Amino acid sequence: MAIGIAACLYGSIMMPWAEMNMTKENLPHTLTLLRLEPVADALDSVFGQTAEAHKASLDAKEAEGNRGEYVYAFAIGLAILGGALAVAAIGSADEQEKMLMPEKK
Amino acid sequence: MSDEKTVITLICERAADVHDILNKEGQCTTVPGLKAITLPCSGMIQPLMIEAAMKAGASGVIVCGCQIGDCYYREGNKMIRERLLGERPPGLKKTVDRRRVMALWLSRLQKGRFETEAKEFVAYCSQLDGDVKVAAKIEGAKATPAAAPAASGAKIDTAPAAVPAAKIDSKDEKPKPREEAMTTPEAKFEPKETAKGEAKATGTDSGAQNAEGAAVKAEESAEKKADAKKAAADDATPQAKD
Amino acid sequence: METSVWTKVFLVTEDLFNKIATSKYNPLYYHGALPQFIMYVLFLSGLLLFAYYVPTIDNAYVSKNLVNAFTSVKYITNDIPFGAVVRAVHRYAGDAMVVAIVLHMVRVWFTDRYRQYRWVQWESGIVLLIMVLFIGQTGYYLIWDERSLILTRMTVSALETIPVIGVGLGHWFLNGRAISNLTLSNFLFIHIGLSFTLLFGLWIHYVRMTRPVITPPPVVNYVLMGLLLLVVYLFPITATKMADLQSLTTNSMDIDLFFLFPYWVLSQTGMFGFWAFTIIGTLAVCLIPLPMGAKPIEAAEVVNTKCTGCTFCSRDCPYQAIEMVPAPAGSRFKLIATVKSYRCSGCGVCVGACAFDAIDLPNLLDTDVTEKIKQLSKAQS
Repeated sequence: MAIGIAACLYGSIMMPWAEMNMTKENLPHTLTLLRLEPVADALDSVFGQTAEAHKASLDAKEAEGNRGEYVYAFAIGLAILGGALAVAAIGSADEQEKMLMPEKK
Repeated sequence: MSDEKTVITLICERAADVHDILNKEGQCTTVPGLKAITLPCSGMIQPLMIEAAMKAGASGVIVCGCQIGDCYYREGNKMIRERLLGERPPGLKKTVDRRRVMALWLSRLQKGRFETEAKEFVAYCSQLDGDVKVAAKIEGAKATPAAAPAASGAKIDTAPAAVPAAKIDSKDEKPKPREEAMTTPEAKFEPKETAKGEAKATGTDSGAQNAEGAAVKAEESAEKKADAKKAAADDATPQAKD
Repeated sequence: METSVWTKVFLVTEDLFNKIATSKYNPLYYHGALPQFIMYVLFLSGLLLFAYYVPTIDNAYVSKNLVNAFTSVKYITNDIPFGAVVRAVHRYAGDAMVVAIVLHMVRVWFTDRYRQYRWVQWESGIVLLIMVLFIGQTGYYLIWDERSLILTRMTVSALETIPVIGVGLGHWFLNGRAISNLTLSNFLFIHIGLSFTLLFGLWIHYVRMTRPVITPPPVVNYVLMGLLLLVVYLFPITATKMADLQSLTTNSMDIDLFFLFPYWVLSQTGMFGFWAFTIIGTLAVCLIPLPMGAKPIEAAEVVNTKCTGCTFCSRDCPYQAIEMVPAPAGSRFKLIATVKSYRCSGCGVCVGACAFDAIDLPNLLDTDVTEKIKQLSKAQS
């Protein structure tokens, strides 16, 4: 379950970074208005190193379209899978195959 | 009455594959004390059948169907599951000792799991039987003087109780008439019981729980006497069908 | 009942899934619900794509202002935010749909759930599969790149080989005698119209089942979506070239085998091989539910004298085989149950539901079962 939650959180935080097309430049105007540049900087410092690897792999496959969007798909896919793992782990200890009757008074 | 009691398994043909560990009489060769009856689907099990098994002297009942979600007939195991849990009519009568009923939802390959759970359950039921016998002995020694007036009081009650019971059929669309119309010989046997005999016979269902209240016991015996009267009255009906 | 080696393999796989995912989330138990969920994903992503798609083929001049199917798809992929992702999700969900349907077919076949009283579900399923294949193929035509042109030409030539009606069918397919704008709007109509017809086909597919399971548990849905998105990242959409009606096309293109396998067969074996494959394949699959060796079903029978019309059996029957009808005049009750024997599976769930001993399986009376239970319970006491 811990792995699931970790994956979910990692993916979730990665999503906005990917959405910004993996760079600190050219931030959408709204972010500047909200004074969120430090957040953008922080995200870039965490994920920045992987940007080149992502871009290289996508270029090798001749992807059409914005690189950041594919990385976003990766991030949200990871987040969703992590969430699914965590939810599945919650009830995993419940017995499915054996059923004892509750007492009826 | 010997001390060997059996646990009955009602198992569907497509759940855990036990046909190679059952002999011709339905006895399970690897789990002593277990006897099995196969049905096309666990959904065919009527709660009545479980009650009949208990009344006839079974120590416990195991219901075994396919994995929930994989019933060959789509929903049979969900149906019997809900009937046992009381979420779906017809339900299991309150007098059945719930601790002696277990349900298993196993796929075809899980014969090993079935055997393990069944062995554990047979042992548990024998332990319950042992507890009941001990409690009954103590109860019998204490309750004899107190129960006599209660028993006679109960006898008086049965006459008016039986008459309205017979009329239930016409209006009541709920399962009650069928559940109370037990056709087992035990039901006829009970009115002759003394308090001691009562303790032993009701040991097959919830006797252990009611060990303290002789008055509660007398109430139950009144119910069973009404059943017996109804059973006698209703005996004609199933025979007429054949 | 004996189990063959094949069945053993499948059973072991199912058990493995149960151990890993627990039976609550075992995807094999939702093999029918998964295609339904994927259909929702396809509808939603398809709707988003439809908003920006332009079904025309004009390419008289390639200029900055050219708007046709191909440029609109290119615009979606490159300029609409997440357009590439939605387009890729739509494509891979389509592939997942074919995979899920085939897995569904395989599981239904090996668990013996397609014969006798279940034949309507099987045959309607075949129709649904064919519709899904057509929808996928028209989806590939809609992009209007070089591959689409090749596929369109192959389709027309295949249709024209049908005797008597072939040429007419070819004209219907092209919406004219040559490829034009009308052709592409025909493709769009087939793509979207057939998708909605799927819903009608699904109604027939579900009609003989009570409470059909059409939603997998959320966990299974999340896993599917997560995997789809990861596949989108791992296999991004690659750019292709716009179709040019004037050019002679080559025969090489990469094709998505999930939908386009008939074209692959056509290119490998020629016209005769293609038609043999299609006709024999379809017939064989339709004839699978022949009840060879199946035990004849003895349908449940209502004991009219005992039925009180409580409706429990009718509600519990998993195959919609029991109907409540007005009771005959003179009866104490308002309704009485009747069994539609052609729908009955012989499972006995109705017997389990009846508190009045009013319905029976003729080859296994519940009174006999109860007697046997009593007998076994008493045997040693």
